[in-house]
Amino acid sequence: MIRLDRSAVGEAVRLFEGHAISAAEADELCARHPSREDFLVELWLRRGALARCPELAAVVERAGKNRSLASGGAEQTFYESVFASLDRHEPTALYVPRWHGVATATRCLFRQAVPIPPSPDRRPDDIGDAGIAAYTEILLTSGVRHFIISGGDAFHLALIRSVLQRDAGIRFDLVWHANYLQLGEEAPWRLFRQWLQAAERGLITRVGVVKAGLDEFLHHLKIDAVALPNFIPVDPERYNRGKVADVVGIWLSGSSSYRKLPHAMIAAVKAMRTFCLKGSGLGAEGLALVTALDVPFLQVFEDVIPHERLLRAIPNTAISLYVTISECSPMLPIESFSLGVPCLIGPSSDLFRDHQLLREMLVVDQPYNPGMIADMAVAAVARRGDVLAAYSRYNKEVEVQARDALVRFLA
Amino acid sequence: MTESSRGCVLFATMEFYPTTPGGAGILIHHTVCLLLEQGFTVVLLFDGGPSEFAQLIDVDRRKIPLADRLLIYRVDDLCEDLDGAPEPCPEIAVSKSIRLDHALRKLTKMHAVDLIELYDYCGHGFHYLSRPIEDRPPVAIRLHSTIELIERKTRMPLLPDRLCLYAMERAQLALADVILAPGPAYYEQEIRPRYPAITPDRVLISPPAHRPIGQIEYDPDARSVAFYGRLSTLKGLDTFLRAGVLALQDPVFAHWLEQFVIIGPEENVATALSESELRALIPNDRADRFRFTGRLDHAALLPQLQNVAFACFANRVEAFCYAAHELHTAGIPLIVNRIAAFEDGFAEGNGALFFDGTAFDLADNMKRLARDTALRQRLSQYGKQRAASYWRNHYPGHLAWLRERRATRAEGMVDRTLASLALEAKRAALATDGIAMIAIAPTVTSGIAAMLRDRPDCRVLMPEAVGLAAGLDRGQGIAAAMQAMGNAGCRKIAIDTGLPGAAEFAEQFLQADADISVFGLLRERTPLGVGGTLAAYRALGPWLRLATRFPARVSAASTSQALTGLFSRCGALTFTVPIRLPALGKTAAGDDDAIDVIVIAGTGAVSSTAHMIMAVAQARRGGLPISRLWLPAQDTRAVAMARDFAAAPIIERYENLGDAFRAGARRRVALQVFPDDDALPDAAAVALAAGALPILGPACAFAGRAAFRDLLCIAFWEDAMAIANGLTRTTECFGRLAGDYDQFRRDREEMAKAALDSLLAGSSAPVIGGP
Repeated sequence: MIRLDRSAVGEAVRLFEGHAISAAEADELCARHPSREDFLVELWLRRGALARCPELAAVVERAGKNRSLASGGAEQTFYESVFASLDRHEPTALYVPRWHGVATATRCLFRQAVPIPPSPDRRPDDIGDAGIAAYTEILLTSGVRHFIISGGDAFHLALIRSVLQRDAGIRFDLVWHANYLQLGEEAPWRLFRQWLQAAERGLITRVGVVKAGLDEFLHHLKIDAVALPNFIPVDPERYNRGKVADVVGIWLSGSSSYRKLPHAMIAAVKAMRTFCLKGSGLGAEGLALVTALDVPFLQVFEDVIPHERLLRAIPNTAISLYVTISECSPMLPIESFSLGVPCLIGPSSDLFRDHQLLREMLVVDQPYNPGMIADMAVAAVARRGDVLAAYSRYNKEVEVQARDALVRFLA
Repeated sequence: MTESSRGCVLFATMEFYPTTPGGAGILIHHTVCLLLEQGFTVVLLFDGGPSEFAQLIDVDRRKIPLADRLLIYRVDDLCEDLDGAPEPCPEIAVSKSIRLDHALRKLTKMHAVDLIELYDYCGHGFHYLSRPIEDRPPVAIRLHSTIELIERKTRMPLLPDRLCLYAMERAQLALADVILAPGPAYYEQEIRPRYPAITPDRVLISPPAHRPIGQIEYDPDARSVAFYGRLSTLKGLDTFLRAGVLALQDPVFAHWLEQFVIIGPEENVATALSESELRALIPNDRADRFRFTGRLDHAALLPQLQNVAFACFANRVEAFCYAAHELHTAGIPLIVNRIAAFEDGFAEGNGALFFDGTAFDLADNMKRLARDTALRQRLSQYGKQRAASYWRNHYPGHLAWLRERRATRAEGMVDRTLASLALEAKRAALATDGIAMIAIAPTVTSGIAAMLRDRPDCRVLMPEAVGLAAGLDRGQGIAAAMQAMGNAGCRKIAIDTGLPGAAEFAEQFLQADADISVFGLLRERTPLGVGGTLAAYRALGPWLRLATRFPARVSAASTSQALTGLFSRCGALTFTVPIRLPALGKTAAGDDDAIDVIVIAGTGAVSSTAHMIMAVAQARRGGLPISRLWLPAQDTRAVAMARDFAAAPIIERYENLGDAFRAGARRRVALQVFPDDDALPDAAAVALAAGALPILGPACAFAGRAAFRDLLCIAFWEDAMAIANGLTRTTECFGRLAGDYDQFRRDREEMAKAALDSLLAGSSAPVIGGP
């Protein structure tokens, strides 16, 4: 049992969550996590990879003491430090930390995940030829022979070409995080076409998708593809006792202007009558709607709150509403369940689809229907025990499927 | 007015035939001639340049019989003493209106004018009509087609700098004493939905006067097909040319046709395509089949018509269309677009053939009329015989109506409202044994208000009638409505919740009379999309508060279960009325094995069609024999995606949805799979009426029947695999689903009737949905 010092905790959060925390917040984290294991569990819930890779956690702790990361040579030092702790025989995922959802999912999926560029304040589009050359060098010297590009930005293609020119034996795979609907948007469609061409030309070996069914579609295009569902292991013993029975949480990421609209969910809280709202990422419209409909609330935020704060907030609610209209494999619902709080979702992902009870109780068929959301939310709270028990069993099955899929993907 | 005159009518105009081109000028010319012929005095206030005015005075006026009672003035001449006109004005219509106001005030002091007639476009009567009613003679606005209407109908961008003009047009329509409409269909279909301020009680039907330009000896062997009008998309030249090219694909028609003759001048403003762009619609190898004559006057036109077998009018918007009536009464058979003006002007089958606005249908009708000589002769004969019926003077009736109306108006605005409302309610009460409900709603063609309008036990009133219009005191409006309800013995009032101030109005009702119940008529669907959603939800807030304050007296009704669900959970009694479904049209007689798929873009938060295109591609790879895929023409990304994924052997693009449902395979399926709270999107209704089955999202009407789920209703709406599966299964059991739909539609009709009965009884909420 090792007591963590607050500077290590603070720096770990900064590196892997992309924002600095105050000394007081670090103290609070330390106080809440007297053991290294507990702290790692929380980080795991947020990022996953740390818990499954204690060596990397150690690197993070060491890196926390290296204050020169922001300067020029520090980046190379950072990567040397990171890769030195990695198993070069292990497939290693590369992700862009600026894309929070993708970064979270990547760290949950893969044992080894490395951010390129190193911090969320760096835009991938700003990586020019010099950057490609530098990252090429870093990847080649790492000794890793199998990389997984998670997300698929334009610079990734240049990076792959650059690496393969130097060493054609290195394998690259892609994990594609967009769904069918997003291909109707200009940028994802343009990228998707480029990646299809990359697959045809053998630049990448396999495509992992987080949208169920897209793998089947790609098979018809003669592309080797595997569906990779997101999951987080749950420990039913850690569930709280459900002390809060009348608070609804709506936690949005603000990542889409049309796929994750809060209006019907907020109206649903009004229709739930005895319930209060807690929420974040609701936007200015969401807050205005809370006022216009006289929705009772405890705390609402226009902007997204830090992930760590979100994970503290969720257990103090009775149910989460994540009734969005378009998703791939959403993290928020499974994070909510991992904290013992049931979550309603929209008819927009594979989640719960093949489980009769969870499908009936948690998937709101009509995402614009406040009455339907309200009814189902009240019912889910009333049957919280049944729902959590069913979810626990369901999640075990998903875990098996996910691990199996991951093995097939990496094979 | 002279002693011998039957009355004096003043026309203010920028157009007059033959001095200037344009249909409005022809109408005023003919009307002036008719009025003079029948003993009226006419004052013409002409807003034109000095050379035009000279032509009018010195040449054209001399050709008008009985012109001694035609007094002509020029606006600029009357405005020489006008000081302080805001020149240069940012909007020319404003300065025109200011000058017209000045000229009219002068003229009405000089002459005892019984009626001033203005046209509706450009809002040039705005300033004059803003003067107190007692300071001016009655003013009629004649509907020709406002600039706003034309620009909306031709899908031109509604630019911010046009808003002033639109506002002036709307204001003068609202302020006029009477609106003269060329026909009932034009008013009901084109004007009433867009201009709710024009209530039926201010509208008089006044068909334009028309004189034939001459008549021809119809030659059954003539083989030219004519277009007559300005070379513009507004006049439908693009449709005509496309149809011509299509028709020429038929070798029989190509052999029969001598040439297409396009008669008319170039148009640079009211058109989405320039003349050269329009000409480019003709393939090079067909160019010799089309002849453009340029503008022809009537004298030059008649010889051209001798060789015309029939003419086509594909006009997109018209109020009357003199060009069509000129050829019609000259004896030329016509094929006309099914727009309101032509429905008013021609009897289908006798007066003209109608087509549905698409090039496909026009081509079919061209081929049909080319084949049928007897029909052409019959149409020709009918037009000639009808010519005399256009020469009818409606103005004596208009003036009498206005005199009576003015007398009533003199009693004051509120009294007029009270009187007309009470009268309306009294009439309704006499017509039935008592009305159960008075509903206040703007003009609607759908939703519960439209259903209530058809009920004998309900009276639907315009909001203006009960003080919900600007300028009327709400308290007095309530008093008027109270009296009306008292007359009718009615204690229930339904109010469209979307009306500005509706909740406040309802609250005053509830406070004023403890016996009154209020029914909020909610929208047809929960707010959609990103823009406007908050405002729409906001409008519900006051009604939710009312439902809490008056739990036993406030109810809510909607066709949307989502909305009634919200209100019922907030304590209100609610009524869900299922929307009516159209009958399934006849299935096209096409290839049994082929399948046409029509993809429709979303109208709510999601507009992307990517998930549906991938579904079509997936279904095709799974073995579904898709023959053709129709995509929205403007969605270029969708077309690229469909091609990349080889979604169909033939990929077509449609500009008008109707084009996509023309002919084709026997089995046609429309995909409009979105999450919106919309039981039946408009486009799906079009599909059904055309005999195609629509596959929709989770909130559609089909969700209520188990047999349709996962086929016509896709719960996991964005999942291309689920859509592909639904598409495959729907086409496999197309016949059975068509039969099931018919029964489903009848069941819904019954449920809608029961729901309306419950609503009017105000007793219980019917349960709808279920398997």
